[in-house]
Amino acid sequence: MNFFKRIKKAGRDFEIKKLAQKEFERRYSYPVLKKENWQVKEKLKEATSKNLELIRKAPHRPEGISYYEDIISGDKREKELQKFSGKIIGSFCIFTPEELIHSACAIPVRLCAGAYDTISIAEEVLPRDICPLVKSSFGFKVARFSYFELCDAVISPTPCDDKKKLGEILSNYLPVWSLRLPQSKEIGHSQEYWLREIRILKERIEQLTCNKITKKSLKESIRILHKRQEVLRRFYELRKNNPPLINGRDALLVIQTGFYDDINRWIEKTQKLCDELEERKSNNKLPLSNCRLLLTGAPIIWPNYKLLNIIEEMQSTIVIDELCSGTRHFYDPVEVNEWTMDGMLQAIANRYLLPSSCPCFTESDDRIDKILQSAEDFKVNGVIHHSLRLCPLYDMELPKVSRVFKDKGIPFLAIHTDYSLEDIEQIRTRVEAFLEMLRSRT
Amino acid sequence: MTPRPITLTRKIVQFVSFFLILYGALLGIRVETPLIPFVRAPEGFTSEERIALMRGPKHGQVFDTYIGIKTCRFARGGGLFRACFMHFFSEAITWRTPWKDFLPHLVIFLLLAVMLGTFWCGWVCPLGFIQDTLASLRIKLGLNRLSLSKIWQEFLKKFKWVLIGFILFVSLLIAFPQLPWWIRKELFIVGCQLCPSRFIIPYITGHPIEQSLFSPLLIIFFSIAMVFMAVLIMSAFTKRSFCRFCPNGVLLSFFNRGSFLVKEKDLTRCTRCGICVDSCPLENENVYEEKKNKNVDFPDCIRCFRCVDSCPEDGALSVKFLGLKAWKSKFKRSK
Ligand code: SF4
Ligand code: SF4
Ligand code: SF4
Ligand code: SF4
Repeated sequence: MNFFKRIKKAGRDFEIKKLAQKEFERRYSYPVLKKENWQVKEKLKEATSKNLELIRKAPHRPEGISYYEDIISGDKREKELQKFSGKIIGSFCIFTPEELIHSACAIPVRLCAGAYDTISIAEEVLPRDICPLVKSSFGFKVARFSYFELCDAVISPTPCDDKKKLGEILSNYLPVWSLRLPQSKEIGHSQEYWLREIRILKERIEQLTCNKITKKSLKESIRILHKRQEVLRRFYELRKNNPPLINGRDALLVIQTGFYDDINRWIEKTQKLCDELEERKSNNKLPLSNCRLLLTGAPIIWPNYKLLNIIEEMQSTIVIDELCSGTRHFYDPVEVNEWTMDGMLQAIANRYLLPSSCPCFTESDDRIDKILQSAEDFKVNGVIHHSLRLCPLYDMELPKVSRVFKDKGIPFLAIHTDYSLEDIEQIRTRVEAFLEMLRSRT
Repeated sequence: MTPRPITLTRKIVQFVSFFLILYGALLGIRVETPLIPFVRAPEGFTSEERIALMRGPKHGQVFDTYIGIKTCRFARGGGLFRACFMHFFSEAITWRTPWKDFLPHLVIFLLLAVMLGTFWCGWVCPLGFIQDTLASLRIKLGLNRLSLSKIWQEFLKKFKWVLIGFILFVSLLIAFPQLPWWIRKELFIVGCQLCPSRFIIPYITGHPIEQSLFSPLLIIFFSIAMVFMAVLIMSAFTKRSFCRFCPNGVLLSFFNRGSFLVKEKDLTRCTRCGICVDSCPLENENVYEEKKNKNVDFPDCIRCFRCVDSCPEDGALSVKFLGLKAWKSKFKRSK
C-alpha cells in the first residue's frame, strides 16, 4: 500500500516539476515596447494628487487614514521594495495564494491598476477595444515605472479573455507564470485541477526564490494572513455601524494599500485604525446616514475613484462593497483542518477558488447570495452596480442581479463607464437622481 | 492556531464514553437487575457454547438496551452494555423473539435514535473514537491524508446497503429450522462475525476470545471481517472510512432527517467556501451543496459537527435541539 502510494506520489511530483518548467514558447515575437515616459509619470502624479484632494474634502475622516494616503500616493513603499533583497512577485486578480509567496520569503504585489494616463501608451501595443484595467496595468510595464518594474516574476491568472492573453504579451518583458483557473468552481473536478495548479505554482516559487516551502514556514504565513483576515473582519464589523464611522473611499484606500504594503505593518496600522473607529463609535458625534449604499461590480482601483467621488460628494456613504479590488480580495480565510503539507495546500487551494464570487466562473448565484447578505447585514438603502466598458462578465450578470434587487424592493442603479473622465457630468446627474429618489423614500 | 470548541468538547465526551462503555462496570456502575428482560435465546439455541466467538455476556453488564452504536458485546469484564444493536437486530429475528420481549428494546432504540440520530456515532461510539484517535495520531506525525476517490465513495454508499441487507437476510435464514443445523450454527450473529470490533475490543478489555476457524464459512466471514479491520486501520489516513458502511450507522442514519437535533444552514450566509467538506470525516458534500433547503441533515453524516465548528461565516451553520440553538458557526479568531 505504502509502496504504491509512494510511487504514485513520486510520479505526481515529477509531473509537477516538469509542468513548472514550462514557459511561454515565444517562437514568434510580439512587438516589444519599452520607453520611459516622464510625461505620463507627471500626469499620473497630478491625477493622484487631485484625487487625494477630493478625498480629503470629505468630512469626518479618521486620523489613522493618513498612513494609507502616504503609502498609496507616495513612493515610500517603492523605495522599501527596491531595498528588499529577496524576490518580489507580482500578480493580477485575487487568485494568487499569497501564503505560498510569503512562506518562500518573497513579497507579493498586486499589479492591477486604475490609472487612466497609462492607457494611451499601452495602446501602442495592445488593441484599443479591451478592458481598461488590463491596458492601464500593462502601461506601467511599458513606461517602466511603479511596482511593475520591481517584480522578478508575474503570476498571471486566466479569469477572462483579456487577462489570459495579457500573460503571453507580458512574457516578452519578464518571466510570467500562467495560473490557469478552472471555468467553474466545484468540489471534485475543478478542485483537483486547481490543486495541481497550486502545486505547480509552489514549485515555481521555490525555484525562483531558492527557498523551500516547508510545513513550518507555510504554517507561519497562513497564521499571519489569518491575522489580516481577523483585522479586516473587525474593520467590516465597524463599518456596519450607523452613523458610518468611515466612508467608502477611505475603506477602499485601506484595503488597496494592503495589496503591496508590508503585511505586518499593515495589520498593525489597521488594528490602530479600528481602535480609533471604536472610539468614534462610543463618542457618537457623527451624523446618521440615510443613504447607505452597497457598491458591486467591476473593479475600482486607485486612482480611478471617479465614481466613488461622485457618489460620496452627495452626502451618501458606501458602507460595503463587493468588488474584487475591495472586500473580495481579503475576506475569506484559509481554514486548515489538518496541519500536514497536503492539508494546508488543499485548504489554500480551496480558499482561492471555491468562495470566490468573481463572475468569470460559469455560475453567478453565489455572488448574488453574497450581495444580498451584505445588503442585509449592512442595512443598505440602495445598490450601485459598476461595470467597466468592454468587460462583458459583469454586464452579463447584470440583468439577473438587478432583477433580484427589484424583487426585493431595494433601489438599484447600474452605471457603465471606464477610466476616462469625460462622462463625469453624465454620471453625476444619474447618481443625483438616484440619491434623490432614495432620500424621498425614507 | 484556531480554537475549535465543538471538536474539543466532542473529544472529551468521546474519551469519557469510550472509557465508560468498555470499563464502566469496573468503576462500580452496575445495575444487577435489568428493568426490561434481556432477549434470550429460546430452547435449542445453545449457540453461546458452540461458537467461541459468540460466547455471551457474563457479568457486570448494566443495560440491556441498545443505543444503536457499536457498544460491543466483547467488552466483557467491565463493559456497560451486553451487546450492540447489531446483536439485537439480527438475533431477535433469528430467535423469533416474542413481541413483548422485543418491543421495549425497540422503543428505547427508537427513542434514542429519534432524539439524536447519528449523533451517537460522532460522539459516543467506541469504534468511532478509535478511528478518530488513529487519524489524529497520523496528523500529529505530519503524514498526509488519503482522499477516497469518488468511485470508492460511491461504491461504499452502495455497499452499505448490501452489507446490512446481507446481515438481515442471513438472520432471517437461520430462523428456519428446515435448514441443516451445521449450516445454521455457523451463520449465527453474522453481524458480529463480520464486525472488526471483535478483533479489537476483546483484547483491549482483557478478555481475549478464541477465533474458531473450523469450517469454510467461518473462514470466509473471518476474512471479510479482516478486510473490514484493515479498513478500520486505514481510517488513520482516510478518516472514519469504516463508518461509511457500518451497519449500525446505517440504522441510525434513517433518523437523521426529522430528529430533535437539527443542523441548519443560513443559505445566503454560506459563501460556498468548501471548508465544511474539507473538515468532514466522511467528506460529505451535501452541506456545501445545499442552497435550496435550510435543513442540512443527511444520512451520510455522523453528526460530529466539525463542519459547524470550522465554517468561517458567522451563523452560516447552526445546530438546534428542539428549536433551541445549541451551537453556531463563527469566524475563528486566534488566541
Ligand atoms: S462484534 Fe460488532 S456487531 Fe458484534 S456486538 Fe461487537 S460491535 Fe456489535
Ligand atoms: S458508523 Fe461508525 S461511529 Fe457509528 S456505530 Fe458504526 S462504527 Fe460506530
Ligand atoms: S463552511 Fe460554511 S460557508 Fe463554507 S461552504 Fe460550508 S456552510 Fe458554506
Ligand atoms: S456533515 Fe458535518 S456533522 Fe456530518 S459528518 Fe460531516 S462534518 Fe460531521
